[in-house]
Formats: sequence, structure tokens, C-alpha cells
Amino acid sequence: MNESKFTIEHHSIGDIKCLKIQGYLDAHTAPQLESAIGNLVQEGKHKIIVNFSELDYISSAGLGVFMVYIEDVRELGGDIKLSEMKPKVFTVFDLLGFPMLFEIVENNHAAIAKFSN
Amino acid sequence: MSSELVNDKIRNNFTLFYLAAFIALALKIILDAIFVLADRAPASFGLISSSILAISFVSGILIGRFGQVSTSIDRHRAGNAGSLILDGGGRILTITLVGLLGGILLMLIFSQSSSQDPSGMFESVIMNLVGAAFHYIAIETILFIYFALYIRRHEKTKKFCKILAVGILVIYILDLLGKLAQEANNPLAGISAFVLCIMLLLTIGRTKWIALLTKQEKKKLVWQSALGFFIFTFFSVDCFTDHITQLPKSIDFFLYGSSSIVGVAMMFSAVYSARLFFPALVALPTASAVDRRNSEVSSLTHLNRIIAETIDFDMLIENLTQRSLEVSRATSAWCELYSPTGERSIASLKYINKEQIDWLYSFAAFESLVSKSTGTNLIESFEEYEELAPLASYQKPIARSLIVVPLYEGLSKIGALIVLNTQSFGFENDDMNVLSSFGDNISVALKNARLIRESISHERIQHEIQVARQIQNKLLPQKIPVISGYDIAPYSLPATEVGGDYYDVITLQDGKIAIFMGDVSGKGVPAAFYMAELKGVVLALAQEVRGARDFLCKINATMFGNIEKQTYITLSCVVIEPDSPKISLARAGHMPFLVKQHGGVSVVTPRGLGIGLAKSEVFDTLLEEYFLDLSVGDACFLFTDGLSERQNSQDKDFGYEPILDILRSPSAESAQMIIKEVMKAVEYHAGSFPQHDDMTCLAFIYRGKGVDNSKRNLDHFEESLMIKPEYDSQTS
Repeated sequence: MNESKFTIEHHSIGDIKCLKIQGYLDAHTAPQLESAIGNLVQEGKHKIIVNFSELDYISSAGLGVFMVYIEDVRELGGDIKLSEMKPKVFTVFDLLGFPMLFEIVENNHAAIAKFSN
Repeated sequence: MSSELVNDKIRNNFTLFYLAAFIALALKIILDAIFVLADRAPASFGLISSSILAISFVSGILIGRFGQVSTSIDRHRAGNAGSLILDGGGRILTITLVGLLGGILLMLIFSQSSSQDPSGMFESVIMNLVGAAFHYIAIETILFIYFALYIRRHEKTKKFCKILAVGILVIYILDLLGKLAQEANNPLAGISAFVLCIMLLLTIGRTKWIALLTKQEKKKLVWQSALGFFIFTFFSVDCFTDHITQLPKSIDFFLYGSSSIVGVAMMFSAVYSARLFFPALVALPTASAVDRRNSEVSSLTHLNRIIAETIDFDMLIENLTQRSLEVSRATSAWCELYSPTGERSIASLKYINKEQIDWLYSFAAFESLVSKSTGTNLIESFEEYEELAPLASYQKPIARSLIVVPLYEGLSKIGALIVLNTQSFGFENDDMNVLSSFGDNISVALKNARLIRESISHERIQHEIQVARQIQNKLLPQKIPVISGYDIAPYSLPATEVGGDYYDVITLQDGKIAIFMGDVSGKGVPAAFYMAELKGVVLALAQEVRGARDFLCKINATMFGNIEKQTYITLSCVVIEPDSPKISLARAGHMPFLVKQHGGVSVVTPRGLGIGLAKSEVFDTLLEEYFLDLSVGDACFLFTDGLSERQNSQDKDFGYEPILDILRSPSAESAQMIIKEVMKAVEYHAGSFPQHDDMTCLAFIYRGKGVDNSKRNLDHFEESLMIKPEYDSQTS
């Protein structure tokens, strides 16, 4: 219903790539994000932050996207860190147990700090 | 059927008239022969009876033919007057020519006497036959002109036809009177005939149909009308003047004084021929251009009809190629289509084969010519282009000139029509124009065909999804086992799309009952497949698990690595024991349990990951199991996010709170009641806002040891499975 209302902004912070996602992440828009992360991984960028500050909604299919590359990225010494989630979005991640699998941080600075450790 | 019967009847009546006519003719021939044999001039009564027989013959033929012609006029539309007149005229011409030559020949051989009357019986028979034949010819010509005029069906024309008939009769009577009065020259008949001819000329006003004839037909009309003019003129002059041939003698012998009538008929025909000759001659030089325009128009019309009707893409392309060849001066043509990746495929070809096309494309110049044409492109001669010249240098080249018509769908070029001519300057500009308009039309057609094809495939997919949904519904429990001490009610309301909601009530090896509520991530057919897989895994494990946590761990161990990385399943499991208040709960990433216990309600969220997200070591370590001790009347509510995330028009989720309120209220006395209240509340919340996700939920209540709810439950089960509750209509 809100398929057009999903956008991804790319930023670089040193060797860290930040994807700022906005709008609705559901079964229709999930492939966009999947290919965006896939491209970064192919380019050899393994330190990825996904910023959720402007994400309004995430569906089960949207959550699945983060599972696709996490293993590959970690094997290569990188990670996908999730930052600045709205409470409602966090609840969805939390119910599924994602905080036990991913580092979910308050903001990009925290994520960068974690990468540099 | 009835109209055929009527036609048959009419045809039979015509046959009767002909029969009567021929009997009259036979009688007349015999009668005249007898008079000649008796070697004396027939007495007046003999002459009269002979004349009556002749008139009977003429009338019979006239009425019979008139009837036939009238019915055929009714059947024909005025639109194709041209070809009808042409065909009819040709026939009349042939008959007249044969009659004329045959008659002259017969009269030359058999009639030596110069007197009006036959010298022998044999001559009398011949003269009668020839006379009858010419009356027939006269009738045919008159009727033909009548037909040619009448096809317009104007009031004026009808009036003239009547005048024509009366006029002919008047001429005959005048002529007859003149002859009876032994006047050598009777000007009256001639003058009347002349007047009628002028009228005829004026009446044949519309000759527009000549313009619509093809070049071939026009040529035919020119020589037909020219020949007709000479023959008819000769014959009418013969009849009116001092008889050049012996023919009028026979005509007069057959019916006294009738040569003038036949003459008038011939004069009419001559006038009519002359009237047609000039427009036909004038139209001749422009005929091929008109033909061409006509064929373009009809090709475009035809193509447009095909475009409107055809859903068969291949047939459309085939037709396009064929029509292009017909309408242009091409010697060969093909149509190629490009795939989204730019590969070329030949969709249809005429008078050229694939090897020849490949050969053409082996020239880079040709390749770039076709690929770079953005609009219709005419190459008049390959020899004028240095790069293309080699193509034309062969003894028998495939092409020396060509037209490329790119085919578009929207803005993207999806193919090209290429027509070739083996001659240099084989095409003209109007070939290019008409093919260009073909290109425009076909673009519309291609779009239509694609839309139709897509809608058909969409329909098929819809049907398959329907089947998938039916199968999926079969995977949900058709019957809930009766559990002593517990009251259980499930409810599932599917959305339009196939989803991955799952619930189940399974009896384990040790007699305990496992209640599942789950949801496969994503939607559609993949989700439905994983749900089916989950059901299989659950059934397979049912005989070896102990407890809710164990069950979920084993499901994850089985499924992790066997499903796609981005797919996971959230699943809650409650294990209960008949007649026991002790229950255990575990949650693999699913929605929390809503529990009413000891007078209070709570959201119970044991820790746990979704199934398929992590390997056993991680998953098992993180999965918690809660043990609860229920009191009589305590309840538990399981659901999928389709329920809690059911939105209304203000994008507000339904949430858990309304459900907790219902659990809290005293009205929640049975599992069925809880379900009903929850569904009522969610309907009230969402209003008419469309439902995007399956909504599935299940409630159970502990009734106390030994309380059998089987009877009560059975009343509700059938209606509770997949069926919308009956209070639907009240809440909106």
C-alpha cells in the first residue's frame, strides 16, 4: 500500500557505510533494501550501519532482509548494526529476538564507536 | 428456412412462365409451318392467333425474367453496383454478340428470298427461332438497364422505369399502326424512341460507382461499353432503317411490327453503353492510384479489425507482415522482435528465409541501419550507399531497396518491420507512408496483445493462488480434539492474499496437548509452502517431544538451514495436560501470550528467537519456557500479528489492550465467547478499512478437573473454523 514510500540514503563514514532507510519496509520494498545491502557486500564494504530513524513500519518480510547477509558480513570481519529505531519498530525486532542476534544501538555514533572497538 | 421456401416457390413460378412461353413458341412454330406448307398466306385469324402465341412467348419470358431480376435486386445492396453492372453487362454483350452472329449466319444460309415471308417450312422455323431469340435478347437488355437504373432505388428512377415501360408499348403501337397503314416511313416511332433515349441519358445520372472499380474492372468496362455501343447501334439502326441484315425480317415475321421494339431496346443499350464509356475512359488513367488508395484503406481497415479482435500476438505479427507485403511494392518482408535484453528474434517472414536474414545482418551497415532507425526509414537504392552497395552487387540480390519500420510500445522500441525490394528505387514515398501508419497501428495492437496476455496470465496465477489457499486451509485443523478440563476455540479470517498463518492442536505421545500459533514471514505462495513444511515437521516431531520448549527447539533444529535465509517462522507453543491446571509456554519470536490468571491479566513474553534465524546452539540457549498454574476460569489467548496490527483508516493498530479488556471482563466465560468479543472489537476498530493480513487467534479456558466441554464445544466448532461470525453485519 505504501510501496512508493520507501527510500534509501547512502552515506560513507570512513570505511563504514550507512544506509538511512525511510518509510515503509514491507514485502514489496524489502527487495530494494536487500539489493542495496547486497551491492555493498559485493563492493567489499562489510561495515554497515542501517539507520532506522525515519522508518515508520517494518513487516516480517522486511525483518528477513537483515538475515540474508549477516553471516557473510561477519565471516569477513564486518557487521550490520541497526541504529535509531523508533519504539514501535524496536518492539517488532524485540519480539522476534533480534537484539540477541544484532547490535541495535541508539545512534550512528554509537554504531561507529562499536565498529572501532 | 421460411425465406428459402418462399424463394423456391417464386423460382417454381418463374419456371411455369418459361414453360408456358416455350409451349407458345412451339405451337407458333408449328402453326406457321403449317401455313407455309399449305402454301398460302395465312388468313387474318391465323395471323392473329400466331401473333397471340408470339405475344404469349414474349410475355412469359418477360414476366419470368422480370420476377427473377426483381428478386435479385432485392438481394443486392446498392454498394456493389459496379461489379453487378459489369457482370450483367458482360453477359448481355455475349448473348447479343452470339445472337447477332448466329442470326446473321442462319439467315444467310437459309433465307434466300428477299420478301418478307419465308419461302419454305424450314425457313419459317428458322425465322421464328431467330425472331424469338432476338425478342429474348431485347428483353434481357431492357431488364438489364432497368436493373442498372433501379439498383439506386430512387423515387425518380422508379417513375422513369414506368415511363420507359409505357413508352416502349407506345412505340410498338405507333409502329404497328404505321405498318398496318402501309406507310413507308413512320417518323412517330423513331421520334418517341429518341425522346426516351434522351430521358434515359438524363436518368443515368450517377456513375460514381465507376470510380470505385478496380483498374482491371475499369479496363473491362471501357472495352465492354465501346463494343456494346457499336453492336447495339448497328443493330438498332438495322431495325429502324431499311434492314441491313435479314434479322429484322425474322423479328417482324415472329411478331408483326416488333422489330421497332427490339430496335428501341438496342438503342437504349447503345445509349447506355455510350454513357458509361466516357466516364470509364476518363477514370482509367487514375485507376491504379485509386486502386492503391483503396487497397491501403482496406488493408488498414483489415489490420485495425485484427488489432481490435486479435489476442493472438503471433497471428497479429503474421498478418502485419502479410499485409505490408500486399500494400507496398515489396518482394519480401519480415518482422523481428527484440527481447528486453536486446536479442533479436524473427517473428514472421515472407519470401525470405532465416539464413538470408542472417546474411543481411552479417553486414554491419545493415545492422546499424535497422538498429538506428527511430522512425520509418526508406532506402531507395543500396547502390547509393557505399556501405550497403555490396549487398546489392550480386546477380540475384535479396534486396536493392528497403523500408524499415520500427515498432514501439510506449517509448521503447520492441521490434521492426523490414520490407525489401529486389529492385533499386523499388519503393515510392507512399509505400513508406502507408507502412509508417501500419507501424503506428501495430504499436497499439502490440500493447493490447501484451495487456491481454498479461491479464490472462494474471488470471491463471489468481486461480493457482486460489488453489494454494484451499490446500492451505486443509492444513489447518479441521477438527479440534476434545480435551477434558479445557475449552478451546480457534478462529481464522484469511485476507485476500495467501498468507502464512498457522495454528494447530496436536496430541503428543504422552497424552499431553500442544497448541501452536505461528506465522511464516512474508506473504504469498512462498509463505504458504513454508507453512505446509512447518505442519509436516510438527506432525513428525509430535511423537518424540516433551514440553513446549523442547518442541520449538526441535522444530528449529529441523528447519534451520533448510529454509531461505530471509525467511523465518514465529511460533508459540502451549502444552497442556487434560484435567491439569499446569501449562507450559514457549515462544519462538511470536506475539506474546495474553493470559488471564488469578483474576488479573498479563502479557506473557518468554524470551525466544524466531525459528530459522539461528542455529540450535544459539536458539536453544535463548529460548525460555514458562510454567503456569491456572485456576478454574483462567484463560489464555494466542494470536498472530494480523490481529494486533489490524489497522483502521487512521493507521492505528488494534493492539493488545482491547483483548486484555475482554479477558478481564466477566462476559468472557467461554473460549468461543472470547473469540466472538475479540472479533467484534476488531471489526469495530477497523470499520471498512481493508484487511491486508490473515487474522488468526485461539483462546482456551481451564474449566477444572473432569469438566467435559465436548458437548458445548461441538456446538461451536463448525462455525468457528474459517467462518466469519454472524455478527458481522451488525458492526460496521
